[in-house]
Amino acid sequence: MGVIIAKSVNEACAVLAENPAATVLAGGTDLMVQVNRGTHSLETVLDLSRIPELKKWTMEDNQIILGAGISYTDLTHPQLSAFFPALAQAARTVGSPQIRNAGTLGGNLATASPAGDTIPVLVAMDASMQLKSSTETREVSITEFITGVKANALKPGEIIESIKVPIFKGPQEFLKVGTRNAMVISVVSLALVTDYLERKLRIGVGSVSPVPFRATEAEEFISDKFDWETNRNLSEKVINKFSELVANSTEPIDDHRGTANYRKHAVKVLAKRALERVSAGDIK
Amino acid sequence: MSSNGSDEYGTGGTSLLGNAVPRREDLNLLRGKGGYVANVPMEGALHAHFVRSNVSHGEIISVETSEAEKMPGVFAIYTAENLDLADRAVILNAYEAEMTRPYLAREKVRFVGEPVAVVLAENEYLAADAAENIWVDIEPLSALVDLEEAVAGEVLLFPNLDSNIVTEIPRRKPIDFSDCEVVVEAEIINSKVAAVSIEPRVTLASFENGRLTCWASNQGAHDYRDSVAQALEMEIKDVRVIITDIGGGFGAKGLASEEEIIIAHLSRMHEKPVRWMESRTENLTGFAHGRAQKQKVKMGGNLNGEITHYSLEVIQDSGAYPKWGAVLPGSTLMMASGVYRIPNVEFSSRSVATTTAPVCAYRGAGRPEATSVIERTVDLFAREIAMDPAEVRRLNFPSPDEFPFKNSTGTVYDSGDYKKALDEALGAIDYEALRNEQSRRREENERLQLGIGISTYVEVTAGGGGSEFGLVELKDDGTFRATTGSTPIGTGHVTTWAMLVADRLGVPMEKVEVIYGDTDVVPSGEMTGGSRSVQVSGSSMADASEKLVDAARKVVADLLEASEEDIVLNKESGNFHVVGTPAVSVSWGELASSPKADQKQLIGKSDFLQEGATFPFGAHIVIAEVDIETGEAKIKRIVAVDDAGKIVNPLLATGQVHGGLAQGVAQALLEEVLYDNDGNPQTANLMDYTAISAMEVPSFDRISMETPTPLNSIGAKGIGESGTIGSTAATQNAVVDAISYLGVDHLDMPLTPQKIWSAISDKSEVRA
Amino acid sequence: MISETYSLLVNGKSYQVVDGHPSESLLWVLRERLELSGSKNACEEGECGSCTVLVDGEIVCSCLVLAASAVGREITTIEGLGSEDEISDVQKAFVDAGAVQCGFCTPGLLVAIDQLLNTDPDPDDLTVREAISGNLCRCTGYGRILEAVRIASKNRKVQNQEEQGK
Repeated sequence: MGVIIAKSVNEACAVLAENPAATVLAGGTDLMVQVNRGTHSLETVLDLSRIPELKKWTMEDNQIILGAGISYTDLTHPQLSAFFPALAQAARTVGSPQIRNAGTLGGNLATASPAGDTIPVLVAMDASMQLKSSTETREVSITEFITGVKANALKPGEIIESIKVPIFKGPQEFLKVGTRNAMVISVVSLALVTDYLERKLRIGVGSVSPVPFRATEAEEFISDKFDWETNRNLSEKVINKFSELVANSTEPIDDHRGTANYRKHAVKVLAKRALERVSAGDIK
Repeated sequence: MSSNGSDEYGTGGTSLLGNAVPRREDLNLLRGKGGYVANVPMEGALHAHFVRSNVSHGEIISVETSEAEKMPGVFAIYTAENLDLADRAVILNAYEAEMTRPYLAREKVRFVGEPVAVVLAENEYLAADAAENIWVDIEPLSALVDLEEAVAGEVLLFPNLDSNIVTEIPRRKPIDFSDCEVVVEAEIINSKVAAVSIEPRVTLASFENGRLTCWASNQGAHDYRDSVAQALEMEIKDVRVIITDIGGGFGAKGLASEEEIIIAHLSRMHEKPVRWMESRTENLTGFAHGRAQKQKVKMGGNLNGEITHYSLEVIQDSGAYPKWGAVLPGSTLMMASGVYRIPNVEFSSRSVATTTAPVCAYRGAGRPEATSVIERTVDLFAREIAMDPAEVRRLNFPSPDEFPFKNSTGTVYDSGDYKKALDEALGAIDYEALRNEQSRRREENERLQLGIGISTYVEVTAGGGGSEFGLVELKDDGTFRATTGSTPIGTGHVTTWAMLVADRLGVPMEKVEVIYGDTDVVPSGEMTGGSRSVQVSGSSMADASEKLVDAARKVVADLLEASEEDIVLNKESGNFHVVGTPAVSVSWGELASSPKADQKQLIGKSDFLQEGATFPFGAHIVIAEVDIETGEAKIKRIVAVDDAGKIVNPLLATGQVHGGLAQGVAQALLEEVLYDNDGNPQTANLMDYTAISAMEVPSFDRISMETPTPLNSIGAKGIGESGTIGSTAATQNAVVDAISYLGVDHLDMPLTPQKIWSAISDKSEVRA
Repeated sequence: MISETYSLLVNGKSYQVVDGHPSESLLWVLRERLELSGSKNACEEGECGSCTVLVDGEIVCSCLVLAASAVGREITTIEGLGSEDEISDVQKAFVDAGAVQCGFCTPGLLVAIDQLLNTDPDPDDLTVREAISGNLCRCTGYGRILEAVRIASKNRKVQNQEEQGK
């Protein structure tokens, strides 16, 4: 069959219904590495990169719906980064310019790497995903979607259509520690998102457990301590307690990129820094 | 008339030498038209793909190829059983024949990445597909990664030998530290790294009418030819090697590797062209690594800062099969006492086999290891006696009038002024102000701590001296053809040689064509390495040019009916005339076309021999900033004072220094070849082997010093490796300096955030 | 075996790819089928940037682009920089700065830098470093490459001012 370049989501779903074994191609940055290594041989390929709907974003009820084909570079453009500064920060740290141009948000989620940089941010923001097949459209939360290390909840015949991200009022931060400055795999990453209206701080953490997750205990603690109106000067004790809680919620492993101990420590430092930066920003 | 110098040939104009001349090699490379092997067209070539061991150490039970043989496009498959190629001779007679590496693994595998079988197929995809269907059954044996375990020899890589020791340098005379007021000791790992030339290994071999032609990506056409001819038991005249452009060497691409010889062999066997290019993973796991020493060091002296005793004990990782790496401690020994006058020095080394890829030469090869350990230890010594590390260094340098200076391991340094180099570097950074800033940050307990790292180095280039072929001829059209024995490896030889020839002949360099890299055209040549090229090969070009001038003077004397001694070359005009009567002259062009001249005589040939090695030196200072919360280290600045004697082309010399500095910083901060305890490579691609990018290199301040060597007419020493040799230790010292106030004495490379943080947190636990 | 025939638009010219296999990367097709061997193969995993080309005006690693999926896109390779007779200003700056050593990474860097200067004619040091952070160079330590970008950027600025002055 070769390569089928779909022009619409419906067409893509139809193709996939007919060829359930087809390989789905988005930006190619993960798939082609496997193909070049000879560990993934291609027969039928469904290319999603030319579907205009997947490249678009729209605003709906205080949420942004991001097409799954939006690239990391797109996420850093001012129009989008104004809504999601942390997502833009995360996108900016992915790979190299070449990878950011090609790689897509949908692809990052489908690969579901524990070190996927955008995922902790999306997790912090309770993003949800629209999955579509020729017979069904369903919505799942990010945490439902990512089921394990490099495992996702896509059913045969399904593609990721879009990612729905609520807009939160208030400052955001994304921080990561890696092995070098460019082309880094995260050793630890952390996103802190302020929700001024709900008086809540949201924290997503990556690379310190099989799947990125929210540090809910730390969120509750700090949301309560945060002075939402006037004085945002948090005491050192509160900051330390907060970062301890974040670190305690992690289950890091030892690997050649970092030890569990270091990861736990680094996440604590990142939590503290993110909190300090967020509380230095304009909260409203 | 004076007997040497440029005045010999009359008035010397403004010389090209010493000027930043842009490279003439660039045009093709910039357009993507470089002559790399993968770009050489060849109809009907077979493609080779190697099946490699995924077990670090084990017995081969079976290699099942029958399924793969039936696959589409497969031409042939070879294993050790049917390769029909006798094992390679021992390199440098440095180790037991028992340790010789079979071309394809036989009976045992000894590292992950060792070739077990090779597939020849119509194209690379089909070859790779077939390779996937070759089933290699290996019964694992214990891996051997740790160097002390390798020395202990409980696991033996070659059971017929009773030890894993490949070769050793025994301690000659033990020295006695008991009189020393101060003694510091340390165990230091000089980490294993990979050369990572951007072009991986690649070759194309074609056997036709009894002759074999190899297109190679290698540092020496003639050495490659000789190693192929020897391995294939062919006459040297029946092997031709062509090297046009090579995408980086860095020491790793010396001599032909096993895979490259197999490709040549298979081409001859089938009388068909065969191509092979390794993947990046093969390059990182199956080729060659560098450095990899474990060092036990001890330094003694007195409280005034005088260093009197130095002991260095090295365990060199040789990898599974000994190659150059096994003998590199010899270079470490030569330079063991560094730039210092230390009366009592002892050295010993043991090179051991491990179940990892073979260790080879990598930029500096043995000398960065010597520099790193002594420069680290001088800092430890300075810390112990609470003296400024710059001051300790100054106190122990030999003074310029002591040169030639014989160090305590017997190496004679030709020329040097180490104090001047250090003072230049210190002056450039305003050392005192930086130390004050460092104190301030420490007192205020700032998150970003400052470190200043000093490394003063001397290194050996053109080790043992050596010779090079050079030929300069006047062509019919009045231009010149210069043939060099050396193989350029991205180092700008063509431009530099044209400059030297043009300078000696008094002609524009555009008139000089430079020929290299084809063993059918160039009669002999040496491998590019050890920073030898400008001093030895460049001198041979200069020497051949001067001989051509002498030959021309003879011919001109006949034409002008004058005595040969009275003929001079005006280098400004490129004309010959009788001394004192410039009005009547003969140009090179006239010589080339004059029916009266015997053009056959108009050649200059040189086998320039440099009697000994030269010893470039310098001082590198690195300023680092360490985030003590995360352990991240950033290099803010490097000042590099390098003295490699006379510089022919500062543009190219600067490029060499920069590249070396970056590779030094890379080893100190980022890069390390890692194996797990079972001998599995952990850094098999460029995501895990974190090669340095533009985001991590600092800006470089290069200060050039030029103390000429008396050993060649140019006055040049080598500059290809010194950047790496100084900067590695300077970077390491800077990072350790930044956190030394927290009680950290030493950290091994690479200084990753995790390692730095762990050291700080261990110390703070102790303090708490 | 599956094969495909399709066409690619490279440097403004249409090329037929006959009997291609679906697994072929754009890099492989450029080099082996279209005889455009300026883009280099050095890692095939998007980590070194030696194969950098423009696809619809953006730099990508051609080793990570499935060739048959690039139908209808505008592809620019190193062969599309400069003209037959003259090298481009960035290429010229590379010569002047001494930014080429072994030359293997050079084509990818040139494509990336040309694109950078087309969108940001006066980038600061950090911007340049970020823009070339996906292009590994082992020889130069990047020092002279950064200098080449400064030279090219300055020259473009001078040229623009002259053109505006007219």
